[in-house]
Amino acid sequence: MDETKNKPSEKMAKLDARIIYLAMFIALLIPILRPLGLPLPISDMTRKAYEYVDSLPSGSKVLLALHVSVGLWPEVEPGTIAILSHLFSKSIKVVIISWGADEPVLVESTLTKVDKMGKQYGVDWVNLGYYAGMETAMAAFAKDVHGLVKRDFYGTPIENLPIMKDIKSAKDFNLVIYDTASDIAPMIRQFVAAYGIPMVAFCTIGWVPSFMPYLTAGQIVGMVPGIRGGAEYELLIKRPGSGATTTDALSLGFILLIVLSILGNVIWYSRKIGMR
Amino acid sequence: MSIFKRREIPVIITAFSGFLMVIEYFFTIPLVASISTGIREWASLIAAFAVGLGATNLGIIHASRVRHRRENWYLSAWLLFVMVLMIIVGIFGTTKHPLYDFLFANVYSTVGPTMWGLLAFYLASASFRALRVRSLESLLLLISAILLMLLSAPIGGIIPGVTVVANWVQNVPNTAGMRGILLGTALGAIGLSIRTLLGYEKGYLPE
Amino acid sequence: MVFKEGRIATFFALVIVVGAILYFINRAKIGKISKIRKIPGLIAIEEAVGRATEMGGSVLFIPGIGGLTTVEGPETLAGISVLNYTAKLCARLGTKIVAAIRMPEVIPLAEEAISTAFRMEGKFEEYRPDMVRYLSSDQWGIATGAMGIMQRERVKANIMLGFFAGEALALAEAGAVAGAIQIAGTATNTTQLPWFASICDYCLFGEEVYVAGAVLSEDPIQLGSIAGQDVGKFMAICLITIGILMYLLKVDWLIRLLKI
Repeated sequence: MDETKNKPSEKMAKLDARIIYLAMFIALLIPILRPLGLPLPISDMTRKAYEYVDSLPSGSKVLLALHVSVGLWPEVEPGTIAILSHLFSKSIKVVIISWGADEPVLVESTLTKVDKMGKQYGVDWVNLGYYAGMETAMAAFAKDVHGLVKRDFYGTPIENLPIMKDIKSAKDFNLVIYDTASDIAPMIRQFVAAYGIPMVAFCTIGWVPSFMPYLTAGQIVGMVPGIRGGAEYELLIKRPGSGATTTDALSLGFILLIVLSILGNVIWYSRKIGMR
Repeated sequence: MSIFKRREIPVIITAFSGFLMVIEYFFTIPLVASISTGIREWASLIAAFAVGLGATNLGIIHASRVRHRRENWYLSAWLLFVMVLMIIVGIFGTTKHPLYDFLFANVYSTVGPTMWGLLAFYLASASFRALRVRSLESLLLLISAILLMLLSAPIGGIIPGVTVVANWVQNVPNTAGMRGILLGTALGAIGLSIRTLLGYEKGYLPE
Repeated sequence: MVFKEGRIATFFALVIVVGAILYFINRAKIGKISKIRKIPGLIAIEEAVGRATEMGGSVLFIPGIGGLTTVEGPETLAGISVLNYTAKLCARLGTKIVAAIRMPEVIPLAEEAISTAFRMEGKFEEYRPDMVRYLSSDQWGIATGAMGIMQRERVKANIMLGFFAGEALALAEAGAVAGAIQIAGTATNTTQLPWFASICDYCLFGEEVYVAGAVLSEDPIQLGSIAGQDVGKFMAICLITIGILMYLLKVDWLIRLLKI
């Protein structure tokens, strides 16, 4: 009989993947059911985004461009709620446009969770809906807003919306906020490089390493990464929400990943030594 | 051979559109700007119409499965039913119709994040199985991965020194590497575009 | 003809790069062929298709999840070129191939790439329309669809080349679980590369993806264009070095020049 088969390292190496899945499930579930209250330090990138938005004078115009599929919306929603609350609290006008088909419906649902502080649709904010073509549509919008957009999400001609009267091109915006789960380069090319409009990114956490070169080069003035960034932004505007309650799960999930990657290597080395 | 199967026609259309876009990007020429705007609108329209092509492809494959009672044919039948239902509700009721809204809020927008949620489990099994230290490079990859996971995990911020080191990894070697890859990628894209515009890149063209 | 503000320097940089590419293409035309290093991931495609054939399995090809009208378009085209090469191998060896498609506009290109490959191998009668499968325009729709194909259709070679995003890890893990030999590559979304590098057997990254079609074609003219790209790289290295020196010397005329 092959004795190596009974060794703990052999058994662990052939560990049923479902056990790993179960461990992850538990690590994520416990803090959601019973928040652990782990500390949440504010990162520099989120602070920079907050400080830039906070420095905008009342009456400024901000473009909130969205490109986040329905699957990733929960990751950016806490940050989106926080930034919209921040913008409304400072009486900044918000124009929302979507580069994906799902986003206009998603943002409508998110807006129901935002305290609009008496702000009026069409006067203080507008949802322009979805425009197909990605970078082609971005370029067309940046060049001539009224050339691309004829009606808002509800079918109202944009001439009838007071907020759109003074917005003709990208140059009329004080800031672009890109809520994204995809590459930021097209928006940088069409808004930052072409018109010099400052940009803040609200992105899913997976994109952070890719966006770092743009942040360090000053092409984006701040970055709010995923749920963690959303939770940080909630703390900065002093309105803790759904982001803050899920960061514990994030912490535990990452710790489990670290443990698993170390454990996997320990077992792999034990087997190698055993085979010798 | 049919005139539509000739390689020259797609190459001419590609070259004409491509060069026009390049000229429009660098120069202010009203005529070129209006033609390129038209081409962009055409591109968006063709891409939108291609959705019909996708639905047809999906329909043919799954209808064939149902007709021939292949394995799991009932799942294909369910797919066809849901696809037709969403098309009918979307077209005739528009996206503001209560039924569309109900399906979007209770099916689509819950299934989507669930699929993303699966990633946590794949991430766990991949961390256990794939992140092996076989060389110095893979050791560096593992150390960087651990540091960046600690940086991403809010709790990582309370471990002394982690934020400083992880931020350095993210801002210096990562940014330097990303910039190098970005430069190579941009040049690669230019090279591929030139080959495509001149008709040398033939993989997608009819023979 | 009026230059747009801020794009003059970029224009001349592009002229130099394009000029170099055209110069090397012309050199190749007169027989001066540039030497291009081998890319292991591309050499392995033959091995992967061969292994799938031996095991009686099939080959799954995913030309990314990007479309044609976006910035990912060149990556998708690169994937289609490699699909054409892979389909030729499959036609030659009689191996089943399935191309999983996300963006509908890619369907005709994938159909053309596979049918042309089968025609060139003299096996057009073996080409089936269901070799190209549009799975879903949703990112996870295609991912779960492709993962299902890996399990159901005994995929023993999984080739993923094009633009990939968050689903890359799940696809690579599912391929590993299915026991497939895996070759993966992506260019613009570099965040997925660590997963491809860790999980897959071979990985292509950055510009390797764009040149894949040219390298596989062994066409001297296409290979010449790759050599031309290196002039651009040399120019970038020079600009970076000069830029660092000027920054240290607190001279900013080069930055101002590049902004014109």
